[in-house]
This record gives sequence, structure tokens and C-alpha cells, in this order.
Amino acid sequence: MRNLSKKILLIGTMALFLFACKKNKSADPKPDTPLDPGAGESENITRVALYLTNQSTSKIDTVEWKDVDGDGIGNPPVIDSLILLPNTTYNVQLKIFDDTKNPADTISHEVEEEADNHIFHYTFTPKTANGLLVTTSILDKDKLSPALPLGLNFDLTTNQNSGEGSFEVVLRHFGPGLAKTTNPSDGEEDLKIAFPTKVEILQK
Amino acid sequence: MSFLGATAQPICHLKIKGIVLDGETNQPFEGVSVFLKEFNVGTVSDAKGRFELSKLCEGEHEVVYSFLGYKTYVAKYKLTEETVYDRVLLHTDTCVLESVTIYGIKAENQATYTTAVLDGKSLEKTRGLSLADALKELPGVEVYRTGTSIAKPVIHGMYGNRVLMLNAGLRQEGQQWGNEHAPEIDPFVSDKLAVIKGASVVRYGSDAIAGVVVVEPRKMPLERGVFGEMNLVGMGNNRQGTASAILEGKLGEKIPLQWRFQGTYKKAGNAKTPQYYLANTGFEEKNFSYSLAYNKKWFESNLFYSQFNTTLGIFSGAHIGSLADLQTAINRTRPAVTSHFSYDIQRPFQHVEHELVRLKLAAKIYALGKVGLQLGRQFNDRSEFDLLRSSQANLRKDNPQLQFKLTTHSVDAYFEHKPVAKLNGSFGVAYIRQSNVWQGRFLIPNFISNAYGIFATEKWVHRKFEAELGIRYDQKNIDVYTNGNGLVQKTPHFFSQTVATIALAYMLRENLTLRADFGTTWRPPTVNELYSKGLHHGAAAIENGNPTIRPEKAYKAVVSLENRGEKYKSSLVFYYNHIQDYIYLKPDLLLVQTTRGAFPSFTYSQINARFFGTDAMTDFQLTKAFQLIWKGAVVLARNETENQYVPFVPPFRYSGTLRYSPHFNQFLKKHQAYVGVSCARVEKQHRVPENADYMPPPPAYTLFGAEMGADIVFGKYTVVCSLEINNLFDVSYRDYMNRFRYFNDEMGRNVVFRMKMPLTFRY
Repeated sequence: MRNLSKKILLIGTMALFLFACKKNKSADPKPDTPLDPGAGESENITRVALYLTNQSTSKIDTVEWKDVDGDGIGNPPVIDSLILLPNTTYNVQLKIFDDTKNPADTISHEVEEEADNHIFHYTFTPKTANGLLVTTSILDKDKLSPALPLGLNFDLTTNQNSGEGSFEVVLRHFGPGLAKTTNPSDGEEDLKIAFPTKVEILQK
Repeated sequence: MSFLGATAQPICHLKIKGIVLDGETNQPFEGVSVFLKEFNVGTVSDAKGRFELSKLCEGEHEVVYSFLGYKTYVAKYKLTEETVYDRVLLHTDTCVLESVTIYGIKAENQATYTTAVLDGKSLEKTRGLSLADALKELPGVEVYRTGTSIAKPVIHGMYGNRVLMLNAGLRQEGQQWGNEHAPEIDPFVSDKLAVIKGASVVRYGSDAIAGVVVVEPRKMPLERGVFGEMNLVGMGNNRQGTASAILEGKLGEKIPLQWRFQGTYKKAGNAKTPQYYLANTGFEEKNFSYSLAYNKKWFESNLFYSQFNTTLGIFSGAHIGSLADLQTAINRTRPAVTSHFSYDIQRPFQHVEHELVRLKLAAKIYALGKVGLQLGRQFNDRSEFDLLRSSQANLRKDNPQLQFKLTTHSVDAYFEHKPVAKLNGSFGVAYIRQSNVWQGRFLIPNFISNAYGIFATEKWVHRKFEAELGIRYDQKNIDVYTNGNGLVQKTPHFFSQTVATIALAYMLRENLTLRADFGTTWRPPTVNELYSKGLHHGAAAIENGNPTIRPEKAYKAVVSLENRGEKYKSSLVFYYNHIQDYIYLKPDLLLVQTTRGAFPSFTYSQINARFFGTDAMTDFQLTKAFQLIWKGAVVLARNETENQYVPFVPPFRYSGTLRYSPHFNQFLKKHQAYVGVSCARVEKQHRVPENADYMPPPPAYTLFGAEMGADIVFGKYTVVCSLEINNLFDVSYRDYMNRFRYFNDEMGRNVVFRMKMPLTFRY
């Protein structure tokens, strides 16, 4: 029986070496050569662009929301104003970018591929109630059945009034266990930004 | 028992035989005085440590074992018909590094510092739980949770960086600063968990603002042969299965080599509240440890290796993208994410590995005392896997969004001098080097830190009075490495502090000890407090570090009264802790625009704070059959600088257990059968700062439980079994100390079955 003690000790000690000493891979970065924050971020939204095509003139405008140094760090975001004409319909393409990657990563492609789990909601809130109305109508759909709207492509229509307001873009994401709905409070927020908006007759 | 003696002639030819061993080396101990208390007679152990007391009568006898420089050990023997054989270990009065607590507790009344210990049956009742949940059994210890599977211990109202954990004699070095980072320690490694609540013990160094958790591996086997123990735990609610086994042995006298293998496997599925399952709350844990000890009379060596590996699911319903999501979740009565039972763990989840190696060496220098050296290495690898949005999910499946690797090397050296005129003392030096590397999303920067400490303690014992004095100096350098657009910048930080403690203990009468500890401790700021930056997704807040933060300094006073009687055990602890430059996240009262809407921003700031309160417990054997256990804790915390409350302090809580062990039936008595009921009440936390939380604290709640157990004997083997039902009435409630209280209720009814089996191969 004394041998039993010895045997178990021997076998066990050898087995131990199979599990132990598996750490510290040489490929790991060194503490004194740190990574650039942001470079490692897997999904970093730094820019949201709206490409607006005026349906009557075919003129194309680009409006951007930019926060190059990342969420909540460094400088505040730079936000363009959305300048619209009254009584006009624009076809809008929305794109989301990660500029920390080189070349810039177009995150909206991923949203498109995962259309069944994403939906955009657009809301316009006028600064003062003066009859100004900006409405949206989503054109693209996901692959669910029945198909639900996605929102990377939509029509934006103004009425005859001019004025100011805020145009809010919200992307909702439906993770595992959540079924996609059109209810604006369902899912979780992936993106929520707002563009200051002006509807005015352009001075020539 | 006495009526037996009255009717029958007493038997007076009985013997107590045994062997005395040196507790440090396990070698036979010659010359130990073995003294029979009631008759004032005794003997001395021989060269092989053996002793014999003969011509004893039936009944109870108290034997005192003593040797100069060693702790006196008193044992009680109940003699009936046979000779009693005992194996006695004597421990030096000046102890090895970690044994101040461990052996101090062993020798019952010898701990100068206020300490609470969980062992024996009380510890067995917590098998299968995490370390924090097991420690919660001790009065004055609470838990701070993230969901159902992540728990951190809270001592006297504080947690995280302010609780020092000693794992196998080493300071546990994981990423303790994170609220959702549970300690990487397997409680099965130990048969005794201790919490030192007194003013910090200088031997352990900085950070013990609230207290010290001590997890020491079991003692090595003393007898030759192979021994083992198997623990099995099943839990109904989340269908958790836990199996933990120990196999240990000792080789022959020629090679006094002791060894042990220990392993634990845990697997749990989704937890269930009374109304719904919590999606993705399963976890899996694989731990093992290995010890090897080689002891000679003048020399000791001990190698300990352990690995802790866990994969923890994070409740899917607690994943929020923005402040608006948080508000929506709070307004819901039940989470939007529906679920069913499953063992599947999906994103978001954490995977944490912790590896620890320790080599302990000590040598006796007979004329002087003892020198010791402890070398340690710890490696902590924490990966956090968030939800994936991209279509490249498959490509990135194995990649975490966030990863930290922390490597810690430590060296401790000490010298314990021989007792000089009732003075026992030691001095020592400590060195710790750490390096941290992050990958993925930025949260805290890389750093390399070097810390040096030097300490001295002296303990004076005079009859029933004991005084211990300690002084220590520490300094710590942290070099932080950051990268801004390809430019690496190194920022050095330097912190230093001298601390001192004094602890007094007075034995009022046998088993009743009054203790008072006073002391200062400190805590240098951690890297997250200095440099964290950006959106903390889990907390829906932007957290900003503050590189100008100074160390925290605490002044703590603890007074305690402890009774360790056979029928009546109790402890009463009062404490007052004043913390200068207490570091906390202060709301900036401003919203920062991000791509996910506006988030409130917080910056690490410093205030003066005070924590004071009391905790108490009684364990009272009412009659032979009934046992009543009661405990309660009150913590009050105040932000003195801003004259308001400190957030996330546990509310008042108290609990009681009434246990009945049938005495009328010899069979049930012999098998230690019992049944019990328990009740726990947690009050609402009214003492919270105004406008500093997204939701008011949840209401008070009361939970009931039931338990039963017995020892089942199979031939030579005794299997200890118990059945326990927690949250008996399946009450829905939320707890203020759970970070997920915004999202979901706590776990519902849980039926727990435990079994402990010895495995013995004697020869």
C-alpha cells in the first residue's frame, strides 16, 4: 500500500504537467508597447453619413455626424446640419463607418447583412410647433416573413412650411432571445444620434 | 452521564495514549509536558513523541499539552471503556507568514485580531457556493453581485479593491477593481475560511481597508497512506452540479513527502426567478490544485500550484446599449429577453483563468529562531466576450472584445526570533512586481508596478493578556504606458506610506475574550482609478480616471467580545473606520454625446468617508435538541466631505436558524440527524445619496428556508448528507447589492443536496 501512495503521486505529478505551464504566449504584446486605444475596438462607430438625393433636381448632398476619437473620449462629436427645401422628397442612403480602421470599415454593410436583427427609427421634432412636417418612409426590408422594414434606404419628405428642428436616427438591435419588432422601444440601442435640421427656401 | 456514574462502580483502569508532533514539521516532539488538569499529575513525551496517562477513571478529562515557545493546547477526552488514543500537534507561538491567522485560530483563544472563521459543519453547508457566497455566512460579511453568478465579498460595507484576499499565503492578484470580477478562488481548496475584520495586519501590506479574507489550503496529511474526500452538490434551481475530490497521502519515514491533488468541477444552467428563467446565466468552472510538502525537523518546504478556470454567462436581458435602454428595462416588470432552461453559454460571457504557484521554505536556526522565504507567481487572464453585431461573427467567434493579462511575481522573506521575555516577534520584507497588458477595447492602460514593503511585529503575552504591535512601510511605483496615435508615453507614479497597528486581547474568563484593535492602513490608487476612460457599457456611464488621485488612508478601530463556549458561542463586533481621501466615482452632472445617445459622465474623486457599524452572532444550544443561531449586521456610511450617504452600502440584515437534533432516539442521535428552519430579513436601504442612481433601492424582503441532514454509515465509511431549500416560498425580490437589480428578480426557490464522502486507503 505504501507503493500506492508513491504511484499516485508519480502519475498525478506527471499528469499535472499536461495542464500546467500552458500560459504566457510569446505572441502577447509587452506591457511597455501598448496598443492604441480604439485600434483594438471591434466595432467603433465614428461616422454616420446621410446621402440625400433631391428627387426633383437629382442634386446629391452629404450630411455627417462624426466622432473620430471615439465615444465619450476626447473631443465632442462634429455634427453637420441637415438643410432641406420645403415641399421636397429626398431619397436617403444611410451609411455607418469606423474610421479607426484603415481603410475605413463600413459597419452599415454588417447591419444590412443582419437586417433581420436590426431596424432604424427616424423621428423629426420641430423646435416650435409651426406646422413644419418632415416625414420618412422606409424603402428597404429584411428577409423575415412577413418582411419588416430595415431603414438604410428611405424617403424623406418635407411639407410647405419652413422652420427648424431635430432629426433623430435610432438603430435598434435585437440580440439572441429577442424577436425583431417595429416598436421603437423594443430591442437595444446600437446607435442614437440627432442632426439639427433647417427647412428653408435657399437664397440664390 | 452523571447518573451512570452514580449507579455503577466507576471504571478506573483507563488510559489516554498518544503522540505529540511538532505542528510545523510533523516530526515527533520530545519533552512536551502532558498534564492532567483535574488531578495535577502529568508526564513528558519521550523521544518518539509518545506519552501515556494511565489509571484514569471513566468520565471527562482535560489534558494540557505545553512546551516553551509553543502554543499550549488543551484537549478534552471522554473516557468510557477503551483506551483513548490521540495525535497532538503543537504549533510555535510565533507563526509562519500566513499562519498568524490560521494557527492562531486553531489554538482558539490565541488570535489577537478580531477574526471570523468558517469551518467544519458551517463550511460544509456552503459547499458548491462561490467564495463570496460562502463567506456571507460570517457575520459582517455580505456580497455584492452582478447577476446570479458573479459575487464579491463585502466586509463592513466595503468590497473590491478594499478587501485584501490571501490565497495560499499570496495576495490574490486578479483584476479586483471591476465590480463584475469575482474572486478567482476555489473554496474547496480550504477547510477553513477566515475573515480578519480587525485593523489590518501589517504582514499583509496595503489594500486591507475593510479587512482580509484568508483562504489557506488544508493541512497536509500526517499519516502514511492514501486518503481522500469527495464532495457532491446538486442544486435544483439552475440544475447546478458540483463535484470536488481530494486525494492525498504521505510517503514513508525515510522520505517524509506529503502530497495532495484536488479538483473541482461545476456546471450550472440558467437560473430561474419565481416567474421566469434568466437567459444565459449558466456557468462552468474547472479548478485543480496540487501540493507537495517535504518537512524535516529543522526544515520545511511546501509547493502549491492551483488553477482556476471559469466561463460565466452574463444575463442577456441586462445588456443595454444606452441610457434609454436602461430606463426601458427598469420600467419593465420582467425582462424582454425570454428564455427556458439551458446549459448553453453564449455571448455576452466572461472567461477567466487564474494560475497560482507558491513555494514556501522555512528553516529553524535553533539559537535564533526561524527564517522563511515565500516565492509566488500568479497569472490572471480575463477575457470578456460581448455580443457580436457583425456578419463576421463566425470569424471572430473565439475573440473577446476585451482582454487583460496580469502577471504577478512576489517574494516574501521573514525572520521570527525566539521568544525573549514573553516577547514573540518577527520582521520581514516583501516585494511584488506586476505587469498588465490589455487587448481589444480600451478600459485600463498597460502598466508595470513594483512594490516594496518592510515590516516588524512584536507580540507580548502575559497570562490572560496579549498585546501585538506592528509597523510597516510600503512603497509602490506604477509605470503606466499609453499609446496616443502611435506615440508611446510612459507615466510614472509613486506612492508610499507607513502604517501601524496595535491589537489587545484580554481573556475575561475561559472562552470569553475581549479584543480591541486600532490601526492605520492604506491603499494606493489602482490603474482604473487613475486612467480608465470612456464608456462603461455595463454601467451605462462614462467613467474618467484621475491621474492626480492620492492614496486612501484608513484609521480603523474595532472592539469585539467573543464567547466560544461549548453551548453558547457568540460574537459582538463594533467598528469605526475613517477613510481619508476615499476614492469614488463622482457624478459630473453632465451628459456626453456619443453614437448611442447621451450618457452621464463620472470622474474619480476623493472625499473623506466614515464607515461604522456592528455585527453580531449567537449560536446557542437551547436544550440538548434545539440550537438557535442568529446573526445580524448594521453598516452606516457617510460621505463627510459632501455631507451625504455613500452609495452601494449593504442595508441592515439579520437572519436566524432554529435547528432540532432528535435526542430521544439513539439511532437518529448517532447519525447526527437534524432538521431546521431559517429566516432572513433584509431591510430597504434608505441611506442612499440623492439623485445618484437610476432607480430607487428595492423594498425590504424576507426569505425562509428549510434544512435537514444526517450521517449515513456504510461499513467503515460515513457519508454526510444534507438537503436544504432556499427561498422556500419562491418569493420574488430584488436586492440593493445586486448590480442587475434594474433588470431582473433574484433566484427563486432552490433545493440543494450535499454529500461528503471520505475515501480512505489505510495500511
